[in-house]
Amino acid sequence: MEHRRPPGHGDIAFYVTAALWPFSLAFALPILLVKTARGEVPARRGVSFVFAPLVALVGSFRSRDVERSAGFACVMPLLAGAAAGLILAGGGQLPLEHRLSQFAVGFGRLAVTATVSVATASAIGVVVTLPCLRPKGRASAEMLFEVLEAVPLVLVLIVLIGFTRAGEARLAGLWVNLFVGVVSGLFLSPLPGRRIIDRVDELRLGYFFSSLRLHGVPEWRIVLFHVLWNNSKKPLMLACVGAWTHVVLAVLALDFLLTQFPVVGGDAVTGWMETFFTRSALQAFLFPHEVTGIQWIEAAYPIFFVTLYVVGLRLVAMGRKVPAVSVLVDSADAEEDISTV
Amino acid sequence: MIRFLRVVFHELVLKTAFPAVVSTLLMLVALSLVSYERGLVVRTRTLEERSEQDETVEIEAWHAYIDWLERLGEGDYGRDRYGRRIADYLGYAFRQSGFLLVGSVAAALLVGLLFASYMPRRRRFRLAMLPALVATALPSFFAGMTVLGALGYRPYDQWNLVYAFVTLSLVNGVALEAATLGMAASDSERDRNYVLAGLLRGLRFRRLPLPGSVERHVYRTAIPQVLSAAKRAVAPAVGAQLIIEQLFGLRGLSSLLLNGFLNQDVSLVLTVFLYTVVLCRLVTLGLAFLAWGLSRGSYGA
Repeated sequence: MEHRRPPGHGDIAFYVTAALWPFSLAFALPILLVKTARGEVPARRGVSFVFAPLVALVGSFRSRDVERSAGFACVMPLLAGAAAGLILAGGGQLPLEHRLSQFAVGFGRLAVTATVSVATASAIGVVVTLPCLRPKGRASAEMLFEVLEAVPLVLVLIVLIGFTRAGEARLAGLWVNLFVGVVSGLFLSPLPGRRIIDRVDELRLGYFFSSLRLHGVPEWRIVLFHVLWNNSKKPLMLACVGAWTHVVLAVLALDFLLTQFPVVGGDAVTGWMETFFTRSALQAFLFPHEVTGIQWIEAAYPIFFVTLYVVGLRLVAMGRKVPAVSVLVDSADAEEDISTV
Repeated sequence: MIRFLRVVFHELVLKTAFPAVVSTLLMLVALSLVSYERGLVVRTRTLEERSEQDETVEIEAWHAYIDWLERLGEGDYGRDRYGRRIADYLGYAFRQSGFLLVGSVAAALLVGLLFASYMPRRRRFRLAMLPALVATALPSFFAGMTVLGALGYRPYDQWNLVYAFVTLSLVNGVALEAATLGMAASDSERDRNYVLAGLLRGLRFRRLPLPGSVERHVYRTAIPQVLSAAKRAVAPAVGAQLIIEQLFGLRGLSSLLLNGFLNQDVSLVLTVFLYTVVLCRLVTLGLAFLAWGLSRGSYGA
């Protein structure tokens, strides 16, 4: 008898993708047809971009793993949407090859920012929470996290980039992405850090630490292998997925502010805006009070896919169940040892 | 009483004043690092020279910071490039930003809890969570642009404050926390013994926490958890507020920040930074005290 998988967030992602596909087709296909008729876009390439959500739909339907389904269903439409936005942005102004190279650079820069940020956040979160393994070491980590959580990330980024301009230490190229990644990683470190603290609290409820010590496991191995690697790996990954969405939204907000106020440091945009938005939409951000319908639609199309991307990743972060405490020693033996002691 | 004083000290001193001071120190370190190429020198306008000449000067970052701290202690924030005293309109900007943030957080909490109460029980988790999740994932500037396009922009009109309030309530993420945790907490509370005892005494299940309903007791126990989780959504909400204030032309803290950049005034930028962090912590503090007050005497505590 076939076992039916329980409904979860993957199903939601499936429905979202199902709703997305007709929208994408209805919206992008006429534009692509017009552009193909004008000879601006090669037909084969354009149509494959539009049908990418269909591939995602089939993929999410076939997949039995809820998390993979959710992630697949949400990442693929983003790529399709980005590609469609790329085609729209290139219309008649720039050759498609030039636009493709710009797109690749922009997307790569975003990936660099988010990767550096998540890596920094994980590293700082782990280092700060290591003292929590001792009963009295938790207060210092909590206090640092309180400080970091009290500061809005967008405010920090805009102030720092403004200061770099004020100090004439202008950042350019990939250095902007590294700078933004490290700073946002520092201020997002409470996300993985708190997950580890919660996990250590769960472990402390049982005989986890005492049983391992009774078995003669050295302290460094308890910390690095049993706690961090064996038991905190999955919560840490979930926190990193959540942090990734924060970085995407923060970078988008930062780029908007820098586009709207070039006085702050307009030469320090991270490339995210230039990648996904048309020139007309970027002009609309400069004068949002006078935005027209066409400009709104041109801005809405990439935003729709970015929103879907963030929703999908957050569903993945919320949906995955953290397994029960994994102890490498038999708990019955450990209890026996403790009673003997 | 002693417990109350301990809570006040812990929340007010350790969790509000300390983060505010440390965050400005962090900014100073960052300021020094980014201006390292020029020998820890920043280009700024000192407070004395700002009103006399219209040119920037270069001073050391530490000097600028200590100068700012001294002036801050005296309550003197200097003058802007038009000769107006910053202290005169800093209070107005703080009040406006504070009203916007507090109002939007409160509205989002109410909306989230209403979602949690009124959604159909079988599918309510999905139905309530998904709109809130989408609203939270929407970039704040695009939400603002949509509201502006739909309702129109009126220069120097109080309606802009209402529009900004609506937009920030949508995107600030508190509604998502309230909806998801409200449902999860109330569901987990329904199996507790006090709920069973209440049912035996004649209480009934209703949607809203009205007198004579089980929900009145369930929510009293569940809401502190919701408030505790909503505290973490306040700082991202402040980031969104900076953008929304600019979109709707409000004269809040973000306009002062922009003035600081226009004037290359490190002191003003640090002041706005400090006030923003304090505002963020005060809202968090309010939520913490509300959670503490509601949890007193609740059955689940």
